[in-house]
Amino acid sequence: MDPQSLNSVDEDLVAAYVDGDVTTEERQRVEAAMAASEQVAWEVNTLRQTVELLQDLPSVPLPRSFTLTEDQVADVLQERRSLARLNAAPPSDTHAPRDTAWQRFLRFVNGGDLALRNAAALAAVLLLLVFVAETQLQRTPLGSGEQLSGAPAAPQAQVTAVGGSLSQEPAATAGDDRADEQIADDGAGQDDEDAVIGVMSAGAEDQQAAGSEQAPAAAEAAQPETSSAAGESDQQQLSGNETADTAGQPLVTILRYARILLVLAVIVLWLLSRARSGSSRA
Amino acid sequence: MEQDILIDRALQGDLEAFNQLVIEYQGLGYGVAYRLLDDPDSAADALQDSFIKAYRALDNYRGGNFKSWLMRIVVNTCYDHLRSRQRKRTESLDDMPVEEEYVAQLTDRSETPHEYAERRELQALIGSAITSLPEVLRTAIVLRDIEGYAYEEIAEITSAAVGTVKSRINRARGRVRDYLSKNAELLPSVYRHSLK
Repeated sequence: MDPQSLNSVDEDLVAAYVDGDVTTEERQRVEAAMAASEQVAWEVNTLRQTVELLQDLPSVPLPRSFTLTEDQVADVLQERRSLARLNAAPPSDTHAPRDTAWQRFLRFVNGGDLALRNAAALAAVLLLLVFVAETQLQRTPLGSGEQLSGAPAAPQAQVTAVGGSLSQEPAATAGDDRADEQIADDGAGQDDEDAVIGVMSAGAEDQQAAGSEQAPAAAEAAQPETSSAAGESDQQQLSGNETADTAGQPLVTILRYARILLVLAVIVLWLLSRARSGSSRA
Repeated sequence: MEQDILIDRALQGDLEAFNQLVIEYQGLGYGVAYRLLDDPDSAADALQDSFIKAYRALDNYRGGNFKSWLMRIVVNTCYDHLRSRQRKRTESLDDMPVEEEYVAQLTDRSETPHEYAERRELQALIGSAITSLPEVLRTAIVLRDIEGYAYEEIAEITSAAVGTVKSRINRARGRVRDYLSKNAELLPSVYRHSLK
């Protein structure tokens, strides 16, 4: 054995040379060492023969199949299947796209039990009608009195206009000559219009009570007889309006109670609708 | 890649998918286990344990060469069996029975009984030479010269540098050669004269 030659070739290089896994330079280096030393040549050649013997060994046939059964890995299998089921579950609400405010409002309105929700809606409509009727009654007390007293429709509209004008301008009513003249002219001989004046006087009762004596005085000076007739008519109309007020008062009260009841009904029905929906979901 | 799909399915509890991987690699695994342990029963037990370990450890597989990852488990499991066997020392390796099925597979109908006997003796001698090696040298020579793995794969399986793998292979070959040369009368004539 030539130690000099052996040292010139590393053992990993010999292994690679035997396997044919070397570069040209490495091959030349090993072959030069083999040429220089019989021992190196013997070493390399016997290693190559040993590899051939090993490679000639037959492949080993399988004695059986090695596939796994569920019993062999039952614990891990169950754990993985549980995890897979969890991962396959639908994503949580946090991942869902957020609804717009309008969609949330619609869902809120459309939620709840359908029958109770419709009942609540009906009560709401009735409430609206009662509210409108009540408002109309409060805004037009004269109209209500007129209807109750059975006065004609055309003069009623006219008087309402005049009365509205008077009520809006109480000072003008007290001292305005035009109003006096209109009253004087209107009361010149037409019975229908006497009634109109009477109604106006009744409607403007407060204004006249405030100290305006000129209009009746002027009317009396112009047409004393007519004026006296109108005065009688005023008396009758005043008594009629009082009757109308006392007759309309219960109606307003009824409407007021109806309004309160309907508000309560809307709230209770809507709450019941939501509660029944929630219990059915649960 | 189909193998990655099978691994994903196996991770989700699909045992059938993992068994397809078992079917694909059980031949390679059994060859390595058999050569490392030189015993069919021990090799079968070690390989079965290896696949069970592999399935349990599949969460730790981080991609890359699945074959190398699996073979590392096989090699380490074989080491465990070797150490267990050394502790027990129930019977000599030379007395290990050879399965009849295995013998039948190795039978070449064209050879004479004498040739068959010689071939069996040579195989047993080589097997004994391999099992005489330390674990790391045994693994290196089995993976390289019998199973045909590349240096890089062996380095990955054994967690060693490629240069270290080459050195181990060379040393293992030298020791096997020396073992065989002591029993040269069992070698074919072409080797008998050169190894002496």
